[in-house]
Amino acid sequence: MLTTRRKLIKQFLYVSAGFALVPACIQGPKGKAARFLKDLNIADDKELLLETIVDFLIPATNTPGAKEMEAHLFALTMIDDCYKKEDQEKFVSGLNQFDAACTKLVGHSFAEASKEQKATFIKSLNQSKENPTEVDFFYSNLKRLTIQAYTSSQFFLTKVKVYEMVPGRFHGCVPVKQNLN
Amino acid sequence: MSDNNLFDVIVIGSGMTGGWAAKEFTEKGFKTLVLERGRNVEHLKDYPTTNMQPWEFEHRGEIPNKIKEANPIASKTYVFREDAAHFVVKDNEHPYVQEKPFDWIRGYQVGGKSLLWARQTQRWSEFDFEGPKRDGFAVDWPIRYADLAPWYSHVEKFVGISGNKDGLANLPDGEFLPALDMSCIENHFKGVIEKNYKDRNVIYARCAHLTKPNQIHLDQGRGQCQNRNLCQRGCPFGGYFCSNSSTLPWAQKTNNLTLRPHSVVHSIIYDDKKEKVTGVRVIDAITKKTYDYFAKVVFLNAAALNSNLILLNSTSNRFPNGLGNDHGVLGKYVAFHNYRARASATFEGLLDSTTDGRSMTSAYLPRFRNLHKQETDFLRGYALTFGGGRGNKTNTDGFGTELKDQLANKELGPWYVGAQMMGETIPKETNYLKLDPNQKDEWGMPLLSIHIDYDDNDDKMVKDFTEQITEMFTKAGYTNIKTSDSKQAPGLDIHEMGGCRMGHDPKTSMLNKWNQLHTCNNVFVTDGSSMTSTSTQNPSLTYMALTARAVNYAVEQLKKGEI
Repeated sequence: MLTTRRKLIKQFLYVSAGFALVPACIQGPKGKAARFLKDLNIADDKELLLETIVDFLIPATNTPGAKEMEAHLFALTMIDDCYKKEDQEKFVSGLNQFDAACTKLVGHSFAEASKEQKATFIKSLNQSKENPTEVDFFYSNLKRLTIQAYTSSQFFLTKVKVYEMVPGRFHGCVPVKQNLN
Repeated sequence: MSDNNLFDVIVIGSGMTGGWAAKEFTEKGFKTLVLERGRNVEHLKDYPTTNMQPWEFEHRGEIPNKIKEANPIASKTYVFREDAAHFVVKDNEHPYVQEKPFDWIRGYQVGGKSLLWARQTQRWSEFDFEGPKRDGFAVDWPIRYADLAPWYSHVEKFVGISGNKDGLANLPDGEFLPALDMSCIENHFKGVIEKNYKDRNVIYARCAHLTKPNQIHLDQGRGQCQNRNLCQRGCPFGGYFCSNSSTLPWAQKTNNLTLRPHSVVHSIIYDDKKEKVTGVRVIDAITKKTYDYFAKVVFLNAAALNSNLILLNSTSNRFPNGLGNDHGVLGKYVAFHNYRARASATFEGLLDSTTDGRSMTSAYLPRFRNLHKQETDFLRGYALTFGGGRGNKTNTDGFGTELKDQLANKELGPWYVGAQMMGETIPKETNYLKLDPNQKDEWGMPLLSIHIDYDDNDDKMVKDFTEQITEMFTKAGYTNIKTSDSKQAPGLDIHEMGGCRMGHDPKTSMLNKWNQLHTCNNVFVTDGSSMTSTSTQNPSLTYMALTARAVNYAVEQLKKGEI
């Protein structure tokens, strides 16, 4: 039994080692947006704006935030690869109008606005209101993807809510407090 | 690959049943050629995603839109995700004709769909085999439960099935490895149902997982299931059963197996003078060259619809309309499982409890409608799966540190529960397959034309499930009950069956009680195409048992010189 267990762990490691060979393209975006985007055309200053927004949505505290996880690049990858053309266009259009809308409401572009002004502007955006604008659409989708990037990041799944790839067990009924790791 | 083109046996297909035919024949000393139309997939070596963490998938599992648009059919199946899409046939590579909407989900590789299956392994019962005769549809099954019971045992011991002995006539017990726990919510549902309904039971759904491997499983190089629930990627532990981890390597060890991937079967060769089949014609998928291979016996295990296609394309002077098809029954009476209806709800009780780890299965409520006699305005009935769990309360409102804290909140929400119906459908002459007279694929094979639809019986069953599950959930105190009818096309259940059915009478069926062609005794068809009716249970276990039984019979006949 022991040998078999060893053998199986060896098999497991053998398969793991195969991963060193997985091409870099499925390891997630590393460079600047312009270098990996296929359909979208995002100017460098807009990429910076996206970084500022995700940093505001989930900031670094004593732990990393969305900016550190490059959530904005993940969001762009998803929009670029997984969104329909009309939604891609809406997203980019909303992004391009974002600063103007912010300036109209609080008198400054998003990057230059104070923390309170940023909050005032963000609170005004909502995809589920009666007549959502392209800015609303852009913001709601960026927020959703930022949350997805953050909660599916290696940091989150190893330090905050631990994802166990190999649980090796199932207990059908345990007291709730035991489960809070 | 052997240079020799002469074998004792040729098995067409390397999936669930092809793997079993290969194992049984090679173990008994027969030189066996297994033909697989797709590429090779070797256990462990060819599971590229198996140990990837969630964050390592570029789109976190989601399939890019351009791939979805290019694959509207494949995209409908739940396994067509970033971690397993490489095991699913792409629409444009293998076109077919939909006379009526049919989502044909295929796995063209060594191991076939056994890599991807949902691993549910419930035996059929006497009620299922007697169904067509009792209720007057299709033709009578030429076998009964007792004929298959020892072969279920034979298969289960090797595959490794986790389950409980439940003592139910409508879901016979088998050879089981230990069951996992049922969850608190499943036990709650079981309690409510068994108290309120005399004829309904809720059990742990039996599944092909090694919860506690026996020596026979360790000998296959497989180990204990580690509850990863990432089976569709291929399992590094061999924790679930598939051809790749089990039957094929087992056959390989005998040195009697020759596996030929990239082998599109053109036809089964019938010799009009010898009045029997002599071999199989293959088109190499890559070079497109034609090769003939010869054997004493041919086992057809290409998966239900493709086995029909191969038989229809196997014409000779004796069989101008397809091998064994003297009566036009071939390709007709195709059926499937009705998986259209679902229900979900929440439960605010049992809030001090939750689950820990992962289960690979769920709870199961065997068929109760029309079991002993006809009671409703529809024929037959449905089984259902039931499962549930608790997730974190997730509040994504707001932004900043407040949002960040909310996302880290581990407080659990209420129990969510879900159920899905698995309905029997009635095989009908009007649900048929045929070869498209004009269009061919890139290997020169005629395209399969599919004409399959639901009927009034299926609609009535959906209605009954919806009413009954609402009543059962209500009695259980569940709230927010939502039911839905997906109206999904047939096919997405991936349980297509029939077209080459078994039966007593050569005038109305293709195969005898040994899955042997009535009119050509050295050809056996033991995959889903052989099914006379569909039952409600997941069919793979039954296909495997039929295959092992047919091989045993074929070997006896070979030894006697009958074939």
